Amino acid sequence: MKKITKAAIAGTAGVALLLGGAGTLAYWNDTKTGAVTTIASGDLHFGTITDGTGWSLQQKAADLPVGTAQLTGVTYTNQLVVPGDVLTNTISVPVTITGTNNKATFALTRVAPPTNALSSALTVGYTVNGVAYTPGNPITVTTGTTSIPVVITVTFPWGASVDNTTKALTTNFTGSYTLTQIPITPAVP
Amino acid sequence: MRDEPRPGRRARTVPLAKRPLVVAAVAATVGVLLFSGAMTQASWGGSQNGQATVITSGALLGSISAPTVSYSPLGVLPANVVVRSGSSGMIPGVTAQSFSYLVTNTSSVTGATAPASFLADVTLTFASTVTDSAAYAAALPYLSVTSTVTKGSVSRGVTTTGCVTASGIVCSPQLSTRVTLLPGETATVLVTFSLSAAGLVPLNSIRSTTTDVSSMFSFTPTVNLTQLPRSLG
Repeated sequence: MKKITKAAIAGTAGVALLLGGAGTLAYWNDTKTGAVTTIASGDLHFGTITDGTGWSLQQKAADLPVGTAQLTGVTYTNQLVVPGDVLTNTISVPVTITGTNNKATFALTRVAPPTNALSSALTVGYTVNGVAYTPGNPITVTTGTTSIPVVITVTFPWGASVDNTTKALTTNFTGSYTLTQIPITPAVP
Repeated sequence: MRDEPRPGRRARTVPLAKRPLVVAAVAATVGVLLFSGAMTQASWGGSQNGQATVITSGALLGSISAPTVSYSPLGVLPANVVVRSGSSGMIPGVTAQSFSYLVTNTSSVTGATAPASFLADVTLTFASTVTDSAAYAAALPYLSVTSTVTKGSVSRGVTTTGCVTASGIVCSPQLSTRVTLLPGETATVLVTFSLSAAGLVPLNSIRSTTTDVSSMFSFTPTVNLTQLPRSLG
């Protein structure tokens, strides 16, 4: 084979190979890591709820003569209660509510006591943040709140007539506290 | 994808992964799968129970003892009346018959520093059963009853006006003694029956001929302890 032909063939083949091969042209890219953005979630929980200032005992019978000074309260140390007695306790409920948009409802109720005449006779009242509170109507607490002041009164009413069914019985009071997150703004309908 | 082959050459096949359009399509599909997964985000909440406080009620309890019977002179004996030592029963104008009861507030309390609890007001009711209706009817105009309640050095009379009735000794509603008892305290209730001197002669006919003492009626006092508010102690 003549040399010219070889060269021609070789060149042609080379060119053919170069031009006709798969498109190996490549696009460009570059990779860099951006600045780190830290994302941390807030918190919503109770601290340990203790017995607060402790219970005090005082009798506040409704039919005391006008001008009769009532006894001051004494520390409740499990004395036997009688009609007319009122037990009072002040508790600073510790809470943690963090997060710019954090908002929650606070609800308080009584854990169901044993079923007996004394349990039925006792009435329980609450104030939360200094305002009368009714179970079933939770209040709103906002982020940054660290404690919620609660005052609990348990009253053994002095009735209008004799009722001996509440003698020598035992019951208890246990508060049940609940925090529930709510949206910071009302949902768009 | 296959290149257009040169004449006489076999078409070259490029692996699928190296084909730009195919790779981009795959990536997009994966992205769609990620964003359409179930949204399991939830709101926060917490709950806790406080410490349990035990509350126990007490009981207002009282006791009354059996009576101690005694006889006391009503005054100077008439000249013709002699009362034998050891005589019992009422003698008109001469001897009264008394019944003494100890009433105790036996309520339970705990705690030395507890305020005065279970303070009770002592009230009385009287009931009786006439056992000799003829004798009782004869004695009725001359019969009277008095009562006192004594606590420590304080003695208070109990109003018994109207308690002597044709059907017996009945005092209702309850008689207030204005005596209060703390748990453990005791009061003495004294009930005294007497026949006035005016009955000395008329009542001779109702005297028993066979016994020194004959019963006219039985008597039952009821002592009630009623709780008072603590601050009235």
